[in-house]
Amino acid sequence: MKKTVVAAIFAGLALSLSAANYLHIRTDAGWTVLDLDNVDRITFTGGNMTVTDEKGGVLGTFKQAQLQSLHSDEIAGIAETIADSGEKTFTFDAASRSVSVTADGDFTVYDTAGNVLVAIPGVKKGETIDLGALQPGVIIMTNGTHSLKALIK
Amino acid sequence: MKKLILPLAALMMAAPAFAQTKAFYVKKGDSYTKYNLGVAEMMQFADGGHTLKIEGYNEIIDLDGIDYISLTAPVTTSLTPSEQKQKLVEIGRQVSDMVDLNENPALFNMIHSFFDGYYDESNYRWHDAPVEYEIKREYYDIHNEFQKMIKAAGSLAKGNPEAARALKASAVNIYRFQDYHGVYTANPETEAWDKSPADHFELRFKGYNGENFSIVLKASQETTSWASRHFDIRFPKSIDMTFANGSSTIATAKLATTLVQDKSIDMTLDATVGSWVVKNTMAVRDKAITDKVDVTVGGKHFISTDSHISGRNLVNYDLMYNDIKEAIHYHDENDNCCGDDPAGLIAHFIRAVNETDVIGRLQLSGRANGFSKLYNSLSVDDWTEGRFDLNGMRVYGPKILKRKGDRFDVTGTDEAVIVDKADYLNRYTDVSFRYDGEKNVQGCLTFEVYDEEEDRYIYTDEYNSYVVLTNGGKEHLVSVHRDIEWKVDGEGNPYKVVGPWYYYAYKTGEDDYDTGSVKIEVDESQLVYPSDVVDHCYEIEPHLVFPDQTSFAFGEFFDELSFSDLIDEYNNIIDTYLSITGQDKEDDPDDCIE
Repeated sequence: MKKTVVAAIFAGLALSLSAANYLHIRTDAGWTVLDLDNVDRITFTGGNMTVTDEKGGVLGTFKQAQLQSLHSDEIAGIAETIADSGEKTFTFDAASRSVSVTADGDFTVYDTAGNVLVAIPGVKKGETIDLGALQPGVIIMTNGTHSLKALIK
Repeated sequence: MKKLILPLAALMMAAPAFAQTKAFYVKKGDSYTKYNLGVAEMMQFADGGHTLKIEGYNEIIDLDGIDYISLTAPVTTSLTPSEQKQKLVEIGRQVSDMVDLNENPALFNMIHSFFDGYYDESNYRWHDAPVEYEIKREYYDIHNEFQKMIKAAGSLAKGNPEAARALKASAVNIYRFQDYHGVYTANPETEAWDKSPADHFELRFKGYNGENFSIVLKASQETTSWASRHFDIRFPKSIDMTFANGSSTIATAKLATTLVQDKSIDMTLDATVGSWVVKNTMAVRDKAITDKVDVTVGGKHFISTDSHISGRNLVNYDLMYNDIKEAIHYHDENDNCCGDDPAGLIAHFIRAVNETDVIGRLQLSGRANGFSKLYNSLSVDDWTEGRFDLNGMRVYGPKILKRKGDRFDVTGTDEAVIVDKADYLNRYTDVSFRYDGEKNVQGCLTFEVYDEEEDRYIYTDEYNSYVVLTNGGKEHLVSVHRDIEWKVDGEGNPYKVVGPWYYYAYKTGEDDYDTGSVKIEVDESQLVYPSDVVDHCYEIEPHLVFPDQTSFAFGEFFDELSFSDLIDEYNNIIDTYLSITGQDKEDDPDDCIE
């Protein structure tokens, strides 16, 4: 009988298709989503939180005083806060890969297979969400009943 | 089968392949603390971004006091795998030194006399154990709970903290049947239980050495109550349990209960078995269940476990009742199948934490959350590749992974589903261990997927063969058969009538069950003749990962060679048990640890 480990490659694939692969950072200025595969280290010096990759390249710098929360998973238990208004609840700027939230709600990004890539419960009107770190591909963004399909190049 | 240690080289080759879960490794000085991101949930900054609360771990990190947070598991020095084994053997030996079964021979004779039948060579007759005696159907539940109580008492005397919870649950279940008060006496002549009236529960049976064993449960007159829309619970404030041999007490236990309507449930079990003292306290509140077990031997700490489950609406009777009802299978008034949906019940539970300490030398820590996600993944059927639908019928045969010449590699399990399950276990659970109360984690548990290859037996006779059937782009290897009938001609010469080759296809009904089969004929030209059929079975196996990032499968780390001394010690304990109860070791070789 022969026994071999087969998980590593497949597990990597499974993770790359879920929200678990993205670090969601909330600050007073809005949300930033970073690809966890690129994140190697987080340091706290000089009043800043600096996120760097394996080579020391800076992926993001955030003022500590403005930091609110972090998560890397679908957070359960948050109730929907928006009713169907029939209006846009966010806008997406493809050039900057940035979302501007125009109504409170739960913001989610899916890939075309239905996997949740980004899950931000309780986004507030006026907040921005930086999706610059998303991997290339077609995504579907939703907030309340408003959804938008976009191509990340 | 005894396991053999694998060559270290093979282990080291496997080591880099283990699945590393996404985690925050908080580095501070020479040590680091791991926070599994799936378990961590939401992390909230406070104090102007200088502290970070890890919700799932209920811990706050002072960000000014750390070096950095790494997303890559740091390689740190630790005990070598060999030293880890020595350490565990040393702890195991100390544990076994505290276990002296000779202290409670009557208890083990009680267990033996209740559960084990015997063969009487003088009259060539097999005598059933009391556990097998005939009981009236209406007493089944009580009888089953008594069985559990006796087993639990035995386990308590061997230091198993879980036994306290089992004993408590059995006592609670028995008291749901107050109408069945009575003394139940085992009658060896009729091999049945005789009941006589009493104001309490009592079980009596003879021991093999002539002992008069009894288990008595007496409830206090004072009750604690809880009203519900279905019935008003009036539970005894205390229940005294006594395990005895005649007038000699073997073990005692007392269960104290306090119910506060819609607010809380508190239960405390105190048990004493010789020098073993066990205390189990459980408290249920609307948002949490805590359960602690402490075991001491001769006044010395032996083992303790502390469990905390966070949840919601845990003492809301109506909600819990509805969700429990939906979790189990039931039929509505039109006999339609209902329930089997535990989603509502699972949603009551948010996260669970368990801390266990063994003689102060070994500390185990376990955390889990995302129960709904875990359930949704773990409940997916993974044996889907061993069957397929063809022309509206179900056919059984493993999926062909690859075919090289006459060798077929096949599987019945869906590898992607198994990998998904392991992924969820790794993301939403976190188990680690430490030594001697020190803070540094000495190892943690991960779950890996293994491909276990096994050669299938190949039928090569004239009755059996194989065909390859294709469905949805997947090829399956399906067994086919033919019937051969011998007949005799008019001159008395035998000859064979060979039927066509066929396989079975099945109709499926409600809940996907097979409801009937039909034979589907195939032409002989379609047959294939494999020389080898290798079955790939995908399974999840726990791995130990040490701080130096070496990784070992459980079965490989806890090999017989390294732990032979410890195994001998535990076999000695088993020998003692067999000796006390007058049994030969050969009676049940499975009792030995291998």
